[in-house]
Amino acid sequence: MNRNRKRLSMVLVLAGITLLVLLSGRIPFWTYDERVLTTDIEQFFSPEHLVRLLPLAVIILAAAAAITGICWIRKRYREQDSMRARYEGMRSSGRAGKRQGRQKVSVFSVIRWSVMVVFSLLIIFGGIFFGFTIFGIDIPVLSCPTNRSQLMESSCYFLAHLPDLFAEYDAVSIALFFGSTILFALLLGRVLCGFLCPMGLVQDLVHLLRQKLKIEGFVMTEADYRKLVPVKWLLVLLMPGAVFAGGNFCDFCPALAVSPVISGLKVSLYFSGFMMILVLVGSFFKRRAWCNICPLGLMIGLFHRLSPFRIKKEPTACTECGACYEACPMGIKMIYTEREKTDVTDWNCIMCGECVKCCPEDHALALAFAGKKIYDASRKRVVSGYQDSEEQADFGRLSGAGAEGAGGDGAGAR
Amino acid sequence: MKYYIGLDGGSTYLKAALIRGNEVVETEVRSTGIDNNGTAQKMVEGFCQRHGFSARDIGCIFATGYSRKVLDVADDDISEITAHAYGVRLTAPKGYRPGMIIDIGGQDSKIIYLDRDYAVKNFSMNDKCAAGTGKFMEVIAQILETTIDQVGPLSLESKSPCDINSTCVVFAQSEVISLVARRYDRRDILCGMHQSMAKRIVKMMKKNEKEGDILMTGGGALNIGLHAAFEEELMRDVYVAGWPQFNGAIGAALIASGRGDRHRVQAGLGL
Amino acid sequence: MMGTGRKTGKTGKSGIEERFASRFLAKQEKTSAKYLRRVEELGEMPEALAPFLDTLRRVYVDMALPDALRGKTLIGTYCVMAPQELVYAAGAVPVKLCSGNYTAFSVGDGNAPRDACPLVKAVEGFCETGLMPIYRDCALMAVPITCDCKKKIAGMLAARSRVFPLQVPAGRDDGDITQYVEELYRFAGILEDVTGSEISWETLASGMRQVGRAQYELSRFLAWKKARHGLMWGTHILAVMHAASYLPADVWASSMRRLNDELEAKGEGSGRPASRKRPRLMITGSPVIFPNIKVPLLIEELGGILAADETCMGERGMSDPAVVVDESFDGMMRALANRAVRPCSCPTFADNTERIYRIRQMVRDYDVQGVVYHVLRGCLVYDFEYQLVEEVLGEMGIPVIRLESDYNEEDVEQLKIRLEAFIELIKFRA
Repeated sequence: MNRNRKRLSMVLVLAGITLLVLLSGRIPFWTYDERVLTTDIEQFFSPEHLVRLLPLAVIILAAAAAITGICWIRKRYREQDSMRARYEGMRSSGRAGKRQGRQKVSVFSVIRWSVMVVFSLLIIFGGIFFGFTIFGIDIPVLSCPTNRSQLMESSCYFLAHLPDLFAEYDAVSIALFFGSTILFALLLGRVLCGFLCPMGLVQDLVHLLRQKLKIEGFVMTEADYRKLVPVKWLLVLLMPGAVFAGGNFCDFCPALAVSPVISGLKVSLYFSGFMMILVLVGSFFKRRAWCNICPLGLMIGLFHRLSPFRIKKEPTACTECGACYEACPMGIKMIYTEREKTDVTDWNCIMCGECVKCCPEDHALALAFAGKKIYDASRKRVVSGYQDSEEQADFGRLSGAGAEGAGGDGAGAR
Repeated sequence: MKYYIGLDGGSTYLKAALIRGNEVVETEVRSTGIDNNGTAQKMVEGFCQRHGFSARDIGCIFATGYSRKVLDVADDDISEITAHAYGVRLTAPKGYRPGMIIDIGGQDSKIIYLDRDYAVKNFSMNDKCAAGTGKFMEVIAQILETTIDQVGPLSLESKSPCDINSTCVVFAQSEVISLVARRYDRRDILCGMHQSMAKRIVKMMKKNEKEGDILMTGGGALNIGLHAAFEEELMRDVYVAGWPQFNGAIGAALIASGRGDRHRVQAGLGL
Repeated sequence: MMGTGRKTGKTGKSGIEERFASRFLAKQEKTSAKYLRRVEELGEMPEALAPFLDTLRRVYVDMALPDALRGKTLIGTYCVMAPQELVYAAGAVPVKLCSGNYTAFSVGDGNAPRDACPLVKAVEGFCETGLMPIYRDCALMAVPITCDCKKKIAGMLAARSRVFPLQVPAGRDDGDITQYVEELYRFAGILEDVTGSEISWETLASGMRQVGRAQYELSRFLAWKKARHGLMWGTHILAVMHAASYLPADVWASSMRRLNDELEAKGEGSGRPASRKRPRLMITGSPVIFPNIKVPLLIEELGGILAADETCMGERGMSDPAVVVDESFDGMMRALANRAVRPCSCPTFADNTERIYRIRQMVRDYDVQGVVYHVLRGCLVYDFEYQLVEEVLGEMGIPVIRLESDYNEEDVEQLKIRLEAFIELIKFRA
């Protein structure tokens, strides 16, 4: 009985999402009559242009209001529980200051954040700052609507508009489209998600904001993640499929509110605008919430099997402390429960390196490229924040040859 | 060629073995008494006299057993487990594949597991309780008015062995007394005792150690009744070591010969 | 020594009680002093070891509080599963009260069933006599319910002091962590009530920092221990870890830092007890707690070296850091719960195969040649796991010996025979 009810509700949710995707073009968030793209840097800062960022401001404000509301409701709800109410003040009072003892910033995360920022800027603004092409290639490599002029770069758009692709282009271009898309997916896999995607950057930024405000997040358990699986697959079907049923997935996709809007394209936002609010709220409380259902990410993930970027594990060095699982934005549990395999790369893994960062056992986890460890787990790094300032480098000298490479942050290749 | 001597200072007897090359030349057993070292010294001297060699011809003396630390005659000492495992190299009958040794000593019994090269893999010991040891047999033999060397043959004549279920030697003693009072045949009682001892020791065995053959050593191995009880309980062939009582001493001597020549200061031998 | 300037408790005690107290104390002091002496007699002691031994001496021989604990609110904890960070956050100092005391054991023996574990009996003995300041002065006792004996002792202790039993889950799945987070919130509330000071984001962060300092120094030590085998006598390391039970984490950390610095200055070679020839043993199984350190002492006195210690009063008790992945208050609480439950290789968990992996890793890290499986009589949960450990180590070609023991010295000779043979076994294999 109960099981049937669960199934029924899941079917209803899936049907609802399908309907929403198909009808998303009829739910306007912010519409314009015409599309205009600014390609001139000087025009870029003109008031006429800046006003096009208005929908973005509305989205951010709405998200902020929703977050405040959720915190307030949670607080009221918790007040009934005397034991927990006592700590409610601490749970969401945005306390300033950094916690002493936080581990030192590793080379790897500096690289990741730099790459993410640079690529997001390139993807969003590349068209404007570099003209449309550089070395004959359109610059906004992954962004959707700003570069319909050339094929290979905008896999996302054409995946959602396959009939356009087949109607407008010759066989060579079509082959080029699929070839290049698959090549990127094979080569980088979901490193694209962890390092290059502007949606990823936006989500990581709101997560960072929550960390600064010290507001309690939502903890997702394995069961919660499992519930997302059908949704994920449904979206994978709908992304290329919606167009055949008369829909347009782009009107649903929250990314439409990122690259086109920020880059100053005068583009109508339909349900995408509301989705973006949801994504901001969701990823505020749960890191990288959208990534967990992103259909493009999932498709890339399917190819990750062959990517040279891997997560390696030394099964006996692991103590099953679960820090990696706690840190993982994608809720990959296998990474800490696996006790036999040395390759623990999951196709949901976005290669963000959080698990390696949090792993307190030397060499238990590592991010590897083509078999070479480029980011290795290290106890020294995890406890580095607890070191007294005067005892610099003590650890390294002491541990000597035996623990060499334990401190290999990112660049410290072994 | 030098002589090597192993001394096994057990709880009841002091055993000595003299070996030369890979041959056992002579063995001797004496009651431990209170002067362990003195007894040992006399035994070593006896060996010298009987075989006509001087202290200089002794390569090395090793001691083992409970009183090994007090036997100053010896150059070095080794634990019983190791000594027994070594002794088997000389005492095991032909065709024995190294596996398990059951050693029934005076006050303890142990099981030693060997790998294919006679190296000790593991061992278990009963060192807290006299049940299942030589002492236990002695006590029962006394009650039944027989001697320890008659216990085995007598028990083999039994037709319907009694059940003896008490774990402890003291309780078993009273159990046996009550059986005697109820006019049970002493042969049946003895047979029951052997079965109960075998059961007790088999319980100590590790279930996952099944490789190789089983060998009995120690004074208890001289008891054919106990041997039969083991074969019955284990449902397998049980080999009996040559010189079972001296297995530890022979092992110690063998280790001594492996240690090679040690320049012997006349360790108070007066020779 | 007897009765000199020692407080014997309240005035107006009857003569019998007074005499009992002085006899109890004298006997207790004698055993503890003897074991401390044996620890010292191993030799090759780093100078920086002194403060740790002094702490043990102060607690067990002088029967007084270490200076660093004077004037502090003490919270007794009985297991690594009660997070010390929370206690510091409440402005109190945690002390580990799991006991290895023979004298207290003989007192507690009368009040607990025969098959109860000696650790629990010793704790009961100390609490009943009320003669041990560190037990007497605890404002609260936090008893994680890790086994039946702990559950019952929590009940028995409640007659004499305030007790908070922490419900430890039987598994380590997501739901279990959530449950333990709730338990820690409850613990935090009780701690606030007892100490009267508020736990806030800031105090919790500073509590974590305090414990983190100790963990940093321990990690430094362990990294070197792995790199240079035979750095120190295993028994000396045990004494260091046991002293942590009676010192605030920061005080322990600075002593530890001096020890690390000294070992570092000494460098390779000189003053290292272990030549490569000593058989390298690991101890695992039921906790080994001062003064019941007869097994590790025997190992090292009989020519081996205790190269690794997998018992929960050893390095394992402190080495797993709480990794904060979320900076909120709740994030820190989750990190504490996670650290207490997931990496803990305590057999209280139904599925404890991770202990096997840990043992395998330790065998590799410390180049262990033989394993001593210590079982305290009545400690069923550890005894249950012996078979699996034996099997796995057998596959690795590492011999294991199971030593069952109690809190008394009557079985030392028997233990000696076994250990001696075991050490020889390893020597002859090599």
